[in-house]
Amino acid sequence: MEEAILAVELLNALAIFGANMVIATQEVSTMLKQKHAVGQKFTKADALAYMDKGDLLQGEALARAKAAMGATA
Amino acid sequence: MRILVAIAASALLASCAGMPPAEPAQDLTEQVAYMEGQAQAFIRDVDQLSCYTGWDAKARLCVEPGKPLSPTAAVELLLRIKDGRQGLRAALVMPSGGGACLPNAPPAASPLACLQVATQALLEVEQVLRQAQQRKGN
Repeated sequence: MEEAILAVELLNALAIFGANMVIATQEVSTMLKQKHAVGQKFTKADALAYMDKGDLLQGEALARAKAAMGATA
Repeated sequence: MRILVAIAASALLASCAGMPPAEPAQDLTEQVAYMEGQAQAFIRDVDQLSCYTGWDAKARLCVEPGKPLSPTAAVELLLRIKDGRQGLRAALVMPSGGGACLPNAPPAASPLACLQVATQALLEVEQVLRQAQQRKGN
């Protein structure tokens, strides 16, 4: 029951945030499909490389937000 | 379980949007990859909802419509996402006996336990983003 309620909550959230979450899910799904199609799994090295990409995204967003915070302080 | 539900819900939405179903995760590494994808989506959400110019601190409004997050709120959320992502990375490299997970939190008993803690931290960010998105719509 709790899981069903959680699923509904998540679906509501996803309906609002749709685009970015769906794009991200499909991006990961495509990477996994490519691995599974040749009988391999997504390795830790693959995951760390994907996280490095996330680090860049995070660094850029944080830099923009901090610059804006400094400008309004 | 929350992780699986989150992935399943996202996959369901994707299928509703006419996209192919998401590939099931076969192990913890692949679950981490899905959660990292969600974390990156949250970073993009914060970026898109943040008022980088023209924030009126007194009125708590942005001159640009559809940007309900102040720069300070954006930084706070991005730092929380950073912590959650650090937990995901820790879960990935953690020995089976457990170890350090989130910053300023007790060690996790196992990689799976760490993944669950990191997921919970990221879902809390998602709730704040949902509220911001609702303000955007008002």
